[in-house]
Amino acid sequence: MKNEVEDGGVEPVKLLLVDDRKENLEVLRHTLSSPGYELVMAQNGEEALRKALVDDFACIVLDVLLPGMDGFEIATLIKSRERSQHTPILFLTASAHDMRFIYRAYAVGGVDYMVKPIDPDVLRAKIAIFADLYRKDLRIRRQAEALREADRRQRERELAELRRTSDEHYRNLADAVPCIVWTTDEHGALTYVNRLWTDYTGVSARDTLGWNWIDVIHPDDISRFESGWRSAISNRAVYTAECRIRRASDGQFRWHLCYAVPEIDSERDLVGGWLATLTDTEDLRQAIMARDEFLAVASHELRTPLSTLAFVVHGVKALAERDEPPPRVPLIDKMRTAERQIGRLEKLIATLLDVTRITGRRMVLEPVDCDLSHLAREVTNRLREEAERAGCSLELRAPFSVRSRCDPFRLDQVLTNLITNAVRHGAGKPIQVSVEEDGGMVRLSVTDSGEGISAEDLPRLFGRFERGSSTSARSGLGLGLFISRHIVQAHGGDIAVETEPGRGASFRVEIPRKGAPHT
Amino acid sequence: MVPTAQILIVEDDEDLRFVVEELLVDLGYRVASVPDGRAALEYLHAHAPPSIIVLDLVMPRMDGAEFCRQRRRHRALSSIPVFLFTGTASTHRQIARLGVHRVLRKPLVVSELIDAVANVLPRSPEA
Repeated sequence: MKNEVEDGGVEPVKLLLVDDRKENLEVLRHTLSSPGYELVMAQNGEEALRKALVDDFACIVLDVLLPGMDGFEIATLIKSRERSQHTPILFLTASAHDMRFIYRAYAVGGVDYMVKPIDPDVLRAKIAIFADLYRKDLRIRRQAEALREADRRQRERELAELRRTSDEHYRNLADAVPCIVWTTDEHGALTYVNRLWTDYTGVSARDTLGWNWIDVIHPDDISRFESGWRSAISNRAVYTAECRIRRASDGQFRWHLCYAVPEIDSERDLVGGWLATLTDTEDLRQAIMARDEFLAVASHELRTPLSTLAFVVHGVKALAERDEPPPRVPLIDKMRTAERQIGRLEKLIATLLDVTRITGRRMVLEPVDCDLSHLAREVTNRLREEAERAGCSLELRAPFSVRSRCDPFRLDQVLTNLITNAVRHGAGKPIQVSVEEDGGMVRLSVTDSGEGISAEDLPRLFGRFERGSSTSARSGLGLGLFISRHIVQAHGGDIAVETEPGRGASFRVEIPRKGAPHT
Repeated sequence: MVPTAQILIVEDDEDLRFVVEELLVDLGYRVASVPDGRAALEYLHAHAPPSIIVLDLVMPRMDGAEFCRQRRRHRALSSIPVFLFTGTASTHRQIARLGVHRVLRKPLVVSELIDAVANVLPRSPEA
């Protein structure tokens, strides 16, 4: 066996030496003195027990004959204590020939015995074995502890990694949501904002934390928003409110819907904090307003011919209720008026249906091979009378047949709309309609020399619920160009306008000769 | 000399203007009609005041609301009762602000207009 004691690198183990006689203890100490051992002495049973309670010993060397308590009693007590139950006990005795002693020694948990006088070499050898065993046991226990520690560290690392990826995951999630996300502590002080907050408000997350976020809310909304928020916090109630938030890119205050829910720790019945979102509802509001406005215009447009019809019916009834047969001419006039109202209603409803189709993406074309020059001629002939009533001459330049695959009914609608607009805004000046071919494209243009379109109206010209020079002017639903553009785009083409206020406007429709690409 | 009109109709829709005028003429009233608010103001400056103005709300050039504001500035005009035709979903509050005598919602119940006119002009007028 390798002598670990003399290696120097071995830590000393403790030995408890128990004998009532000082000179015996001296002999033992002398025999076992070594840097590998730390010797603890006891001269009676109580002292031995006390020491065994405080320290861990590699071995206890115990004289059997002690005053008061004999060695066996002490051994029994030592073995009954958890700390010392596995500590080996080496008995020293003077009466080796008594076999009862030997059995008793083993029965109380002694592992060995020696008969006095002690042979120092044998004692050293025996103790060395116990010390070595003790050291090995210690090493194994330490290794086990080290393994447990390494395991624990590994688990902690994994947990931290999990927490980090989970945090990152939620942060990424919050950044992917198309609305502002924020969290607060239980008192409502901001603890986190997602990236959109900073992008939107231009205020960094650090500058926002706490209650500083109040600053980006519209001054008129702050007190209402804040008092509602504070009362939600004290009531632990879900908070919904609307307020205007300043958008940094253009300085505009835009309406937002705020939705905040408390994070309740159900075990402790506590609010841990709040999770909240802010959604920009400005566009939605605008769209609803535009739609309401459109509905108001549409209902007005529908009611006017209906009113006229009511008057006509009343007039016809009045005529019919007279005793003499009703005069023919006024009756026919009234019926013509009635027919006109029916035509107007029909057209309005068709327009409304077109808009519904376009918004619901259900505009279906029925393309056939047709001659656009022929189509343009038909439309200009049909509208010539109306144009001339407004003082506009209609000039068509379509010298060649221009064939294309398209929906003639829909293109008739587009051309009718463009020419009617030109007549309406043409200030009684000539209007040119032309049909040309340009490579793979077919071009239809309608040019007037009238009012033109102001720069202010231009961007909204093709919008759904828009009307050029809309100041209280009434000229239909203002949907003509919206519908026309959709028809042209459904053909795979586009519609463009060139205009100069006071000098007129030129609308140019271009579609591919082969019609819309198949979808 | 042209006799003074009792009723002035201000309506941009040609057909509606015509049938309303026809009805009131048939009932024996003296009627004049114009297509928008500006034309109405011009008419009122040039003629003796009528007893009733029948006014459309939505019109080009000058709408009914603007006409009402202009009317209130002229004492001679502000006393003439106005019947407002409206087909839009304007709120009561918006209309109340115009200070009109009566609101007639489109589509019109014809008898409603007849009764309203008869209320202001009860005497069966001479033909």
